[in-house]
Amino acid sequence: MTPLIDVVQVSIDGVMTGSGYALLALGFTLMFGVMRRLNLSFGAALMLGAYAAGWLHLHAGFGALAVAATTVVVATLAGVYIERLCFAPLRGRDAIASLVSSFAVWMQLEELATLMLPRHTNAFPALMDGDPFLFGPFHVRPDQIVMLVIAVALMLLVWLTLHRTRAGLALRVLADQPGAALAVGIDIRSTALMTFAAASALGGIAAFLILAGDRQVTPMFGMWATTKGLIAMMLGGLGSIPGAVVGGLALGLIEAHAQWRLGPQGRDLLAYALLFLCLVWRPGGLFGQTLADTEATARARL
Amino acid sequence: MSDAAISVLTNIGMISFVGLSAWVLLTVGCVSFGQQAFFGLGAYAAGIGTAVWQWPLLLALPFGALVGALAAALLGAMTLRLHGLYFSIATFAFAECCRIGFELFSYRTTRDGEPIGPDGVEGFGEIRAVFEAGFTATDQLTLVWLLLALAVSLLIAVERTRHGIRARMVGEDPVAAALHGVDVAHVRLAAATVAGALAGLGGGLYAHLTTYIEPRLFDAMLGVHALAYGLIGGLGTAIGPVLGAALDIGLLESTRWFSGSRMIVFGGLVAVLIILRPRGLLDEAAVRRIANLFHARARPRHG
Amino acid sequence: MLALDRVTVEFGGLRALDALDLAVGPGEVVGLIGPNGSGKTTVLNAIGGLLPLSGGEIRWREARIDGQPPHRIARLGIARALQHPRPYLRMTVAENLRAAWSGGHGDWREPVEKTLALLELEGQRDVPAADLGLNDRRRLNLGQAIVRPPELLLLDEPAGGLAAEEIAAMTELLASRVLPGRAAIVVDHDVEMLSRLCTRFVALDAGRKIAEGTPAEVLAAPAVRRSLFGDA
Repeated sequence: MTPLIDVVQVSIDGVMTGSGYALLALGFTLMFGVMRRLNLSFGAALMLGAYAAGWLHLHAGFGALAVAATTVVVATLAGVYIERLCFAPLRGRDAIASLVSSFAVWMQLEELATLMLPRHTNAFPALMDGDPFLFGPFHVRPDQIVMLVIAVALMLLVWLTLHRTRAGLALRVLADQPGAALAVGIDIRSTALMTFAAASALGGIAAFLILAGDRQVTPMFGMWATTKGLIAMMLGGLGSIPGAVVGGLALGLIEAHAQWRLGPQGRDLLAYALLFLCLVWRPGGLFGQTLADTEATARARL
Repeated sequence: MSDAAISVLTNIGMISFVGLSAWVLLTVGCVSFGQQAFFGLGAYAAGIGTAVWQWPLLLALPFGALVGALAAALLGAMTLRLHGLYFSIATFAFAECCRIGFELFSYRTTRDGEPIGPDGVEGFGEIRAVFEAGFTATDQLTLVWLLLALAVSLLIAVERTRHGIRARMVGEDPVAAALHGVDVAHVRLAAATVAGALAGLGGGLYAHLTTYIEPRLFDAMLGVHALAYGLIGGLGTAIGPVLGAALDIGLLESTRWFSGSRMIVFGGLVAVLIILRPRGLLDEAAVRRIANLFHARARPRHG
Repeated sequence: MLALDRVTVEFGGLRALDALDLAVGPGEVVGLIGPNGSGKTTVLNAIGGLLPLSGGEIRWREARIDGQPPHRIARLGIARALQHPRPYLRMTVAENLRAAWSGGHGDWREPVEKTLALLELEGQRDVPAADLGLNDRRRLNLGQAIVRPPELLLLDEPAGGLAAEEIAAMTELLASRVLPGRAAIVVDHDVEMLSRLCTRFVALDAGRKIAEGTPAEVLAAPAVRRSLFGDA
C-alpha cells in the first residue's frame, strides 16, 4: 500500500466519521443559535435516548429501526425537559446560570441512563451487516455510507427548513437579530422550544448512526457527543450552521489523520489543542462571527 | 468521631480547594471549566516532590501550589482577554489537554528497589510521605482543614481591602470598573494566579492523602463540580464553595437512600436552586444579613 | 488642559466625529449641545478611552492620551458620569462610592462621607443600589465621579429622565457645590440648565462643530437654531 493510498483511505474514514460529527454539531449549533448559550447536557440527552433504546434492545429484543426510533424519541423528550428547566426560566440571566443548570441536568440524565444499563459496555444493534464496499484500493463500510447519505439528507432538510419555511425564518431571525424578533412578533418561547426539540431529534439520529457503527454504547458517550459538537461548532464558527457542518467534517478528517499518526491520545490531544488555539487566535472560527453582542443579545431574549 | 466521618470530612476539605479555586475566578466574572487542571498539576508536582525527589512534605506542598499558580498565570495571560464564553471553552480545552498530557506523562525512577513515579494512564501511586511521617487520620483531617481555614480566612480578609473591592467591581461590571480606574486585566490575572495556587495546594494534599492519583480524576466532571460548589454554596463569601462541597459530598457519602441516584437528586437541586437563588445560598444579600446580625449583637443600641 | 485636535471617530463606515477641535481650560465648564446623534456622547467616550480614534489627537496637559485604556485615563483624574447610571447593583450606596474611590490609593472613609453629605445621600448609605429610584441613582452616579475629586469631569445628561423639581435641584447642586472651580464638559438636551452651568457652549451637528462661544451667542446662531429647533 503506497502512502498516498493510506492517506486517501484515512481521509475517507475521516469524512465518514466527520459526517456524524457534522450532524452532532448541527444539533448543538441550532441550540446555541437560538439560545446564545451552551447546552452542556446535549450529549447526555442523546445518551439517555441511546440507553433507553439499548435497554429495549437487550430486554425486549428491539431491532435496529425500533432502536433508532426510541433513541430519537427519548432524546427529543429529554431535550424538551432541558429547555424547560435550564433555559426557559433563565432567559434574562447571565450565561453561567444556564451553563451550570445544564451541567446539573447532564449529571441527572447520565445517572438515569446508567441506572438503566449498569454495565460499562452495552450492546447496540448494528444498522446493517455487510462486507465493506471496495472502490479500487479503498474500502468503505455500508453503514458508513448510509450515515453519510442520511447526514447529507438531514443537512439539506435543515437548510430547506431554515430558508424555505416560516418556522425556519423565525429561528434565523431569533438567532441573528433577536431585537427584531420581538418587534416582528415572533414567539420566542415556542420557537426556542421547537428548535430544541428538533435539534435533539437531529442529535438522536446522529447518535444512533454513530453507535450503530460502533455496535456498542458506553457511559462516556454523553460527554463525548457534547465535546464533539462543541469542538466542531467552534472550528466552523460559533453559531454558524454551515460552519457546524464544515467544522464537523474537518474535525473528522483531522482526527482520522491524527489517530493514524499519533494514536488515540494524540488524536484527542490534537483536537483539544486545535480548539484552544482556535479560540486564542481566531475566536470567530472558520466562518467567523463576533461575540461582541452575545451577552447583550442573550439578555435581550425575554 | 467515626473513621467514616473523618474520611468524609477530609474529602470535603480537599475538594473544597478546587471549588474555592473556581470561586475566586467567578468573583472576578470569569467562568472557568478548567481548574481541575491546576488541581492535577499540583497533585503530580507535589507527588513527584516527595515520592521521586524525596523532598519533605513541607516543601512539596508549596511546590504544588507554585506549579498551579504559574500554570494558571500562563493560561490567564493567553485567555483572559477573551470574551467570557470563549474564555470558558478555552479553559475546558486547556484542562483536557492537561489530562491527556498526564496520560502521556511518565517519569519513573527506582526507590528501595521499587519503581516509583507517574506512569501515564496507569497513574501515580505510592505517594506515601504522609503515612511515612506517621500522620493519623485525625492528623490528616486537621492538616486539610487548617490549610483550608487559612485560605478562606485570607480570602475573607482580602475582601475588605482595596483589592477585594476591585475584584468585586470587575466581577460585577468590568466597564464601570475601568472607568473607576481599575486595571481589569491585571485584577483578573491576579485572581487566576491565586486560583491556580489554591487548586495546586489542594491537589498536593489530595495526592498525599489518597496516595494514588490518575489522569482520569482530573476530568471535566471535577471542573464543573468545582464551579457548581461556588454557585450552590454562594458567591458572596469564600465559605460558599466549601458549603457547596459539603452539600454534595455530604449528600453522597452520608445518605444511603441516594446511593444510586445521588446525581439525579443533586442535579435537580442545582437546577432548581439556580432558578431561585442565582448567586447561591450564601449570596451577597445573605452575607450582608448575617454580618448585620453580628453587628447588632456586638453593639446593642437599645437598653 | 484638555485639547481635542482634529479628532475623527469612525465606526462601521459612519463618521461619528469629524475633525473636531475642542479645548477645555482650567476651571472652565463647557456645555456640549446638539441634536441626537450629533456625537456628543461619542466625544465623551473618545476622551475616556472607550473608543479608538480614526484620526487626530487628544491631549491632556500637553501629553497625548488617545489610545490609552480607560482605567489609565480615569487615573489621570478624568472622571465620567455615564448617561445611563451603572451602579454596582449588589453594593450599597456607600459601597458604590467606596468602589469608585478604590481605583486608587488612600483612605476612603472621609471622601465617602463628604460625598454622601454633598449629595444628600446620607440617609441612603446602606441601601443596595438596585433599590434606588432614578433621582438617587443620578446622584450616586455623580457621586462616583467626584468622590475622588477629578481634574476634569465629564457629565453625560446629569438630569436625564428627572422630574422638573428634581432637575432644578440637580442644577442647583451642580452649580453651587460640584462644578465651581472645576473643569468640566457637560452634555445635555436641556439648554436652559446648561446655560446656568456653563461658561462656554460648543454646538455639534453630525460630528462637526458648528458653533462655539458663550451660551447666548451659540443659541442665537442661525446654524444652531436650525440644527436644534429646525428654525432660523
